[in-house]
Amino acid sequence: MATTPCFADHHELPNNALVDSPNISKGRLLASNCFQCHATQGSGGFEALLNTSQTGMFAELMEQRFKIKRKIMAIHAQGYTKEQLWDLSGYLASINVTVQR
Amino acid sequence: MNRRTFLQALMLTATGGLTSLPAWADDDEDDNKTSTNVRFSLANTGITNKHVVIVGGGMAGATAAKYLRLWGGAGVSVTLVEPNPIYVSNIMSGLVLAASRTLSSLNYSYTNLINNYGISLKQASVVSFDNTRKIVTLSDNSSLSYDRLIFATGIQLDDAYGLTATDYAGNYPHAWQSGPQTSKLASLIANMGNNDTFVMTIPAKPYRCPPGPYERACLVADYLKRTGKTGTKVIVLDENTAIAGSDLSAPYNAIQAEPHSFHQAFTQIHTNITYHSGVTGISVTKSSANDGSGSISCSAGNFSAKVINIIPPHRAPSVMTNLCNGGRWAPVNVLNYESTVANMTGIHVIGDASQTTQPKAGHIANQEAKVCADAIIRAFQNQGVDPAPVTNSACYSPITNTTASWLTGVYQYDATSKTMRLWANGAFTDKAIESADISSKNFSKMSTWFNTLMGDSFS
Ligand SMILES: Cc1cc2nc3c(=O)[nH]c(=O)nc-3n(C[C@H](O)[C@H](O)[C@H](O)COP(=O)(O)OP(=O)(O)OC[C@H]3O[C@@H](n4cnc5c(N)ncnc54)[C@H](O)[C@@H]3O)c2cc1C
Repeated sequence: MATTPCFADHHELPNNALVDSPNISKGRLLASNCFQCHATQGSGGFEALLNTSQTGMFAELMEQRFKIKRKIMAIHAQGYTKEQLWDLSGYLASINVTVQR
Repeated sequence: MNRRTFLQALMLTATGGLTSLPAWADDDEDDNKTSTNVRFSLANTGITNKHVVIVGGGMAGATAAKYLRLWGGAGVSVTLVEPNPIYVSNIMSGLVLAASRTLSSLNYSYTNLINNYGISLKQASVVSFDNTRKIVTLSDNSSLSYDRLIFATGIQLDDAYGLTATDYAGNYPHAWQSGPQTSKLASLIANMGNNDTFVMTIPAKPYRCPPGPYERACLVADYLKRTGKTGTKVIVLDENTAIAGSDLSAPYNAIQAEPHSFHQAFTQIHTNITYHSGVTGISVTKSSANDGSGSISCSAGNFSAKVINIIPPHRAPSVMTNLCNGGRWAPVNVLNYESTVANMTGIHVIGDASQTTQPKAGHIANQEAKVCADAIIRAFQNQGVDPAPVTNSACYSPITNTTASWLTGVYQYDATSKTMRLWANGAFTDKAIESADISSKNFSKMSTWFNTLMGDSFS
């Protein structure tokens, strides 16, 4: 099955990326559950979660819910309500990444 | 049309335009591709002049310090009080006993927290606190005042079964707090010869890291086999009793985490392990040489051992006695981890020292810290707490020096019981989910998980 990369052909941030912390409390705490495995603010780990849209991230999480194989990511997607997945996707989408000079 | 293009088509209709999809659809092969020199900027929140003191720079305390600054901004000053210049991770310390990892590979310094987030580190212990004056007193007799105080002190291990803190620091290490005791235990195991026996004990729940003791048994058994020490045995004496509804038979129905993986490990992979559960009356007699050997008597029988390794019962450290209401752990409100003891407003307890329905584990300590940091920042901004916090636990357990299993679960707030409860697909549930198999693929994912978790906590 083909994958749709969110930027270039890597799932990682550019070197010297500066990741911000938006002053938004909605979805922040929910999204932070991702950071143990996807790094602070979603910046790496198994895969960076940044530079994506709220709808794109939400769709991916909904798709993860239907994985049949017993996988950690699928189990996590099944641990949140739809509204929670939407809110955490919104927080992730609001994080800005710039490249430091 | 495959499922992904179908989904994209759906989204086109739903949103009126194609949105970018993150790339982890085929996540079987996801791996660690962390970019170099990623930095984070602190939030602009308008909060000014707030000071949070955090006691203990372990998994919970380091994470709380970092996220208070990251989400709260420069107006939230954070002082982290910690006596040790380096944190030594407990997670993965089993691999040190199995001689497949060095203890120094588990060292984490506070430099990144200081340099990248502007956290002040005070190298001392907190010896007392006064919540009326909002002051903590440190081991160097100095004091710090606070707007909010967070205890993240981890555990204190009891004198137990005839052994004391002096024995633990000597030739009878528990090694349930990583450091010199871990190296000591590794060398005692390395010195075992043919036909020698290793006897370990597991305290009644709740204890730090539910799968941890079973993992330790596996790694010691694996090491003894791998190094060709013939006739060696690992005997596990577990105080825990059968879990209601377990589908395993005695004694294995008492295994506190990943029962199927450890049942398989104990009965098929490491047949040099003998497991006893529901054990009572444990009593240790040290050998006259005081060299780590001796005998253990208990309800399961009398065992003589070349190496005795007890994991003593534990509790929140004594500096927190007034937060524990006469019990072993500090009761908290899991919406913000504030103490529920009278006159303790503004004091929070996170990590292993707190009393919650969640496991005492590093991954969850990290998340409890974020719940607490989020709630404190909201309070500084005159917002209410997040009324429905979620936490998650994930844990990989090495079973041999090349294979691992895992355990995971998501906890939702249950407003009826005011506790965090496992939740999946729309309903509360009783069981965390364990991996379908014990594999080398799990072992390699384990290192991505571990490195990322430690990075999220310490850098
Ligand atoms: C063998 C083993 C394996 C484990 N494996 C896993 C695993 O795979 N996954 C997992 O999630 N968890 C695992 N754990 C559990 C995990 O290590 C703990 O749950 C976690 O460290 C708890 O974090 P904490 O911050 O509460 O305590 P700690 O990490 O112990 O930190 C407490 C800190 O507080 C400091 N402190 C104590 N008293 C004071 C004081 N008075 N003043 C100032 N500072 C003080 C201490 O020096 C220490 O640095 C394992 C544990 C063990 C023993």
